[in-house]
Formats: sequence, structure tokens, C-alpha cells
Amino acid sequence: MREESGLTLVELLVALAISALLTSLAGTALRLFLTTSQAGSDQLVVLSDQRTSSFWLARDAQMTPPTGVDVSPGTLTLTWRETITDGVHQSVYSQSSENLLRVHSYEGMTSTIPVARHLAPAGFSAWLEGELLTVVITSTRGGASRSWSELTHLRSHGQATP
Amino acid sequence: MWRLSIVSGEEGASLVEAVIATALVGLALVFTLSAVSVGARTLALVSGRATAESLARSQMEYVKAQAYLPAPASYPTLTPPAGYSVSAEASAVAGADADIQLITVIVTHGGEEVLRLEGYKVNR
Repeated sequence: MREESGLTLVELLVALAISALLTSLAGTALRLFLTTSQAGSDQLVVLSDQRTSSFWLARDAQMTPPTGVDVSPGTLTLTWRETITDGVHQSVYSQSSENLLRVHSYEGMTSTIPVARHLAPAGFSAWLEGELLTVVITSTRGGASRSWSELTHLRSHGQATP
Repeated sequence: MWRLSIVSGEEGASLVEAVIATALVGLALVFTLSAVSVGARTLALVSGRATAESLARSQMEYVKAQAYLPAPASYPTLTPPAGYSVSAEASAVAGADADIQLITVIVTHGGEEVLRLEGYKVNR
């Protein structure tokens, strides 16, 4: 009886120590797991910025003749004339805090959409070399950061500058 | 306790229990780890894909901005991100004249082809 109670105390201590060790290991593993999934989610968000902004920039720039491009620091203006309706389109891309905004106007109607939401400070720049428009965008969120450039050859044929 | 367990015949039951418990914990661990691994691999795939797409599209636009070279020809390429390489080849279009050509842009990553983009360039 006496031996048994002594043994139980030692067992209890050992069990406590083991469970404390296991708990701390589990806590570390859980924190690692959450950190990893947060990093993955940040990466996906930055990738989505790239996909969306590339889509809209290519869409607008492929319609624009070289003479319809106006580049100033932080702002890119694309102007083109639609051949069927003869209406004038204008898309203005500019950085507003962390957003890259696309303000599109056509026949007096204006719509604004953000095409990227996690730009780095001064994360948007554009320049024109002859008929080649280059746009460089840097998007960052948490530990994830991504910088990419989009080239567009401006089609000069058949479209007069408004 | 040990001696008591052996005597009372509890050992068999607790061994089976321990094995089952270990198996269950191991199974849960395998599922969790494989989920994490699949997530990481998918992310790397998506990220590589986005890089390749952007590179291929920019390369195609770059070719269209160059002077027309008679096919077959290789057009100058952009500087790709580290680990990637890109090529742009022009080939003749069967049944058409020499003023149109097929452009094939191939993006490779780690020596393997990851994306192939085709387009046409005209001499005008």
C-alpha cells in the first residue's frame, strides 16, 4: 500500500512532465501551421493582384495606339477610339495608397475599379519606348512580395488618336 | 503498477489500446502533414504558372514590336526571372505567303517546359 502510493506520485509527476512537453510541442506545431497557412494566403493574394492587373492592362493597352499613351510619374493614361461606334475610351491607371485604380470613361460614363489592392509604396511605374509599353508593379502583403513587368506592343494601325 | 498490471492480466488490453491510440495519432498526423504538403506544392505551382504566363505574354508582345524577320528565325528574348528561360521561334505558315508567320513562345523552368504560347506576326 505504501509502495503503491509512492509509485503513483512519481507516475503523476512523470505524466505531468510528459503532458507539459507534449502540450508545448503541440503549441509550437500549431503556431507553425498557422504561420505557414498565413504565408500561403499572403502569396495567393499577391498573385491575384498580378493576375487582375495584368488582365486589365493588356486589355486596354492592346487597343491603344502609341500616340494615345500619356505617362507621368504614378499615372498612366491610355486613350483610344473605338472603330465601330467611333466613341472615345480613356483608362487612367494610378496608385491610390495601396490600390492600383483603373478609372475608365466612355461617352460620359465613368467607372472605377481597383485592379490591385496591395501595392508597395511607389509600386506602380510605366514607360514607353517607341511602340513598347512597359508597366512594372510591386505588390506586397505580410511576408509575401512580388514584382513583375508587363510589356505591351501598341498597335498603331488603323486607329487615330482622338 | 507494472507488476500489478501483469498480475491482473491488464497488459493485453492496455497494449492493444496503446497500439490503437498510436495508430490513430499517427494517422491524424499523416493526414495533417499531407494536407500542408499539398497546399505548399499547389502554391508553388500557381506561383510558377503566374510567372510563366506573364513572361510568355510579355515575350509575345516583345516579338510583335520587333522588325519582321523571314521565317524560320529566332527573335530576341527578354531577360527572364532567375530559374526561367524563354525562347521565341518564328516558322512559316503552310499555304500562306511569307508575310505572316507563326510565333511559338516556350517558357521553361528548371529545364522543363512549363508553358507554350502561339501567336501570329504579320509583315505590314
